[in-house]
This record gives sequence, C-alpha cells and structure tokens, in this order.
Amino acid sequence: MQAVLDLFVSFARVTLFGFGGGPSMIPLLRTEVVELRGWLTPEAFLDAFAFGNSLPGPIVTKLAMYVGHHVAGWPGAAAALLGATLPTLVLLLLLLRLLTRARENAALQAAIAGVRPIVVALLLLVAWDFAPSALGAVGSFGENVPLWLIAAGSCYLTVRRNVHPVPLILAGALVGLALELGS
Amino acid sequence: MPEGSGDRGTAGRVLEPEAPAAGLPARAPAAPSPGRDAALGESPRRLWRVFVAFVRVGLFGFGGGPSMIPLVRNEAVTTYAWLSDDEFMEVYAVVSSLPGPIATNMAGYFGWRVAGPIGSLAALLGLTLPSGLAIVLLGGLYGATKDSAYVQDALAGVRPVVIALLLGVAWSFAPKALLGPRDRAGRLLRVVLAAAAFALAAFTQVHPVVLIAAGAAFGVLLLRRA
Repeated sequence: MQAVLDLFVSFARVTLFGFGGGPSMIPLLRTEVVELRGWLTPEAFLDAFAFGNSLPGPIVTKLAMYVGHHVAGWPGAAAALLGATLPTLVLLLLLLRLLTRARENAALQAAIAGVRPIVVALLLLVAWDFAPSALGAVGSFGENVPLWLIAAGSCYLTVRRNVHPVPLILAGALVGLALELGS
Repeated sequence: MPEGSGDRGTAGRVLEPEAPAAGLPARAPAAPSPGRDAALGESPRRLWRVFVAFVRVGLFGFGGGPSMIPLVRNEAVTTYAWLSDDEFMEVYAVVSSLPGPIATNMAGYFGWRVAGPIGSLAALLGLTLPSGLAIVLLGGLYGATKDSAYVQDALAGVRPVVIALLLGVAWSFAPKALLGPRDRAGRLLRVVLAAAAFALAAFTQVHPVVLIAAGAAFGVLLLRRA
C-alpha cells in the first residue's frame, strides 16, 4: 500500500514540476525513479525509455504505467498513471475556467492576441527540436535525402491536400520499411 | 464545476445540431464539419466517441506528447468541431504554460468540455491506456525486439511525417495568429514577435513559459486597441 502511495506522489511530483511537455520531463523522471526511489536500475530505465519510444502514445504516462506495474502490480500502474495525469489536469481546468470567466476583458483579449504568435513559434519549436532525430544531422544531408523528401511530400499533402494525419503516418511507416530507412 | 459541456458558454455554438439548410450545396468533404458530434447529449455514445478519438491520437502519435498536437487538433477541431482553431490556440498556450504532459492535459480538458468529468476520464484513459498496457504487457519482449530492424525502419519513416504535421498546424494557425486584423503595424509586430520568440527558444534555451508570459505582456502593451 505504501508503495502504491509513493508511486502516486512520485509521478505527481514529476509532472507538477515538469514544464514543457512529457519528453522534457524525462530527466526529472529518471532522478525520481532511479536515484531517489531506486525502483529501476539506470540500465533498466534506459531500456524502458527506449522501448517506450518505439511505441506510440504519450511517453510519461507510458513510463508511469511501466514503473508502477514493475513496483506494485496493477494497483501500482493505476496509481502512477493517475499521479502523472490528475494533479496537473485539475490545475489546467481551474485556470481555463478563470480564463473563460474573464473572456470579455479587453486586456485579456489583448494578451491573447500577443500569445497567439508565440503559439506559432512554439509549434515551430517542437518541429525544430524534433528535427535532428527525424531528418538527421545537418552535415549529413546527402545521406538523408529520402527523409527530407518524406517530410516535404507530407507537408504538401497535409497543407495543400488536407490529407488526414493517420494515413500519412501509416504511409511514412511503409516507406520507412520499404527503403529500410532505419538501418 | 457544474455542467461540464456548457462550461465555456459555447455549447450553443459548438454542440448544437446544425439546422438543415434546404437547397444549400453539400459541404466539401475536406472542410470541417461542425455538428457531426451534435445531438448526442451526455450519452454513453458521446463518451465512447471521446474515448475513441483519443485512442486514435494515442495509437498514431509517435515521439511523445508534443508530436501529437496535430492529431489532437485533427480530432477536436476538424473531425468533431468541439472547438474552433482560435480556442485551440488558447488552450495550447495555457497548457504549455502549466506543468504536466501536454497531449494528456489537452485530452483531459477536451473530454471535460465535451462530456464533463466522466468525459475527461474517458479521454485520459483513451489516450494513455493502449500504449500503457502495451508497454506493461510487452515489456518482457523488449530484449527480443531491441534490435528489430523493422521497428527502426518504420519509425525512421514516421518521424519526418511528424515534422510535416507540426509545420502544417503552425501553417494553419499563422493567418489568424500573425496576420490577424487589418492593421499593418500590428501585423509586423506580431511577425517580429513570433520570429524573436522562435529564435530565443531555439538558440538560447529560453523557457516556453517565459515566452508565453512575454507574449501576453507584449499584447497588453502594444496590441491593445481602444
């Protein structure tokens, strides 16, 4: 029972102090799971992370369930998952509720107008951070032409043709398999 | 919080069935179709729909939460019209300035808006359970699949697509966020603001929360019109 509670607290702590989305919390999570609690060895954590990355879905909740199950079975998995999701969700709901109440406020409207360009910049930033692992290092453009072509083609299809993301993702996987892009 | 779906006072706009307009041509298939999720009420069917929407996001989102933003937007804005692109941008800004996983928090919020607290839970579980169960149940297989060339090949093909999808969302937000209303000066300011924010974050590790706060302050000081 104590373990289940610890799991909830640990994952709540990681997400409550982790700004910038799940992947940016991995170092925090590692400190908590490997160093503070000793639930996984450094190698086991790295393996779980690598395996988690080859599965779809949010990374922090995946690791939460993995660690939770490893430590305390299914109750542990549930506690870790809830710890990772509920506290920050409650914060979010409260803040958005305040925002909705003050919606007609002129200053708030102006603030939102100022935040919108930042949102565009942040989306570009997510793409930017993701680019080295997706498109390869800048110096090795020659070897990565197929990756750039996939990106350019998908850009055209999603922006100009409004193609649904799911077929694009499936097509990317098939092209990757056909051209053996991972090797 | 009472009556979740009417929470933002937008229920009438987003959730009401579209009046059947006689003689109007059918909507182009690519256009968003508001009203597809209409008239379900707080029914189990609506909960199921929220659940399935986020199962889809979780199953096809590779690369962690932020890479799922295009998929979340696709479900919430394009497919089900739970909210407009404008509101999506606001929610994204708020989610990015708070701690916590981004896609997961967005799922919980949209679920709440569509079907209240249980909807919130349905969305959260839809997003997180399939992959969470997979990692628990397949964890033992990791040794066997560790060097699987197939998995690596497929992921290598998917990653460039994720980049394209993210750029696509930025592209579709840009007209509203950067060009906005007619004023030329404001337009220039907004473009400069976005470029500066991107450069700062990309090259000097300024935290997104700081940028969002700066954008809000900037808006209040410079973009406010009498």
